[in-house]
Amino acid sequence: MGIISAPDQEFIRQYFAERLTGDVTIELFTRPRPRLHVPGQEECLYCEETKQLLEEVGGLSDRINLVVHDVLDDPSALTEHGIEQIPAIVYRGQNKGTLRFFGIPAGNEFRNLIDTIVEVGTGESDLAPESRQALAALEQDVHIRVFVTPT
Amino acid sequence: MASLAHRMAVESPRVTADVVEASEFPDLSQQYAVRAVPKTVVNDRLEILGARPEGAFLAEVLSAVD
Repeated sequence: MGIISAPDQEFIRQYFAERLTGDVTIELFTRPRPRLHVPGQEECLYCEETKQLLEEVGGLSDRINLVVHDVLDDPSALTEHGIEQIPAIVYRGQNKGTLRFFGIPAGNEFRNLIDTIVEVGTGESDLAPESRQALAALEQDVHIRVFVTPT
Repeated sequence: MASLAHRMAVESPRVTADVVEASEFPDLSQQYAVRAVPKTVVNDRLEILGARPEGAFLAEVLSAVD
């Protein structure tokens, strides 16, 4: 059974068809649910669900390429990409900077997931011209962390 | 704020925008003293509590690197 309802899938498929004009790679850092509880190993609350959700979203456009890093099989993937928590999502497309999401993009954040895919695919942020100008003139690194909850 | 931060990273190679689902990462949320959301932290030193319109958010974020 899918996480995304059939009518929502159809809506998003159409939305991507109209707006997603470039390719997007979504890298997911996750791990399978352990069959046994391992003492000392932190639980990954929504790793499985995040993978399923992204697989469903990825199936809605040929422009989306989902790459899944299983960090149990390949722990070096985390250090290579500077990832400290999972599940982690990294977007790659026409974006100039780095866009990541930690956790499951559900609730309000699901809408952002869909919009972010389109913005990364097109390289168009929809920000005001003066905002884009200010950002283009930026000469120092800026690391923004936004804490959210799903509802 | 999440979508604004991500949009800023679409536009500038200088911007890294991390959106964190706070309830899944209690240790990190505690480290950044997250008591309400949205909470934005810029370069580990500037905190922005609550939502802002685009222009105000950008001005505050950029003030952290002036």
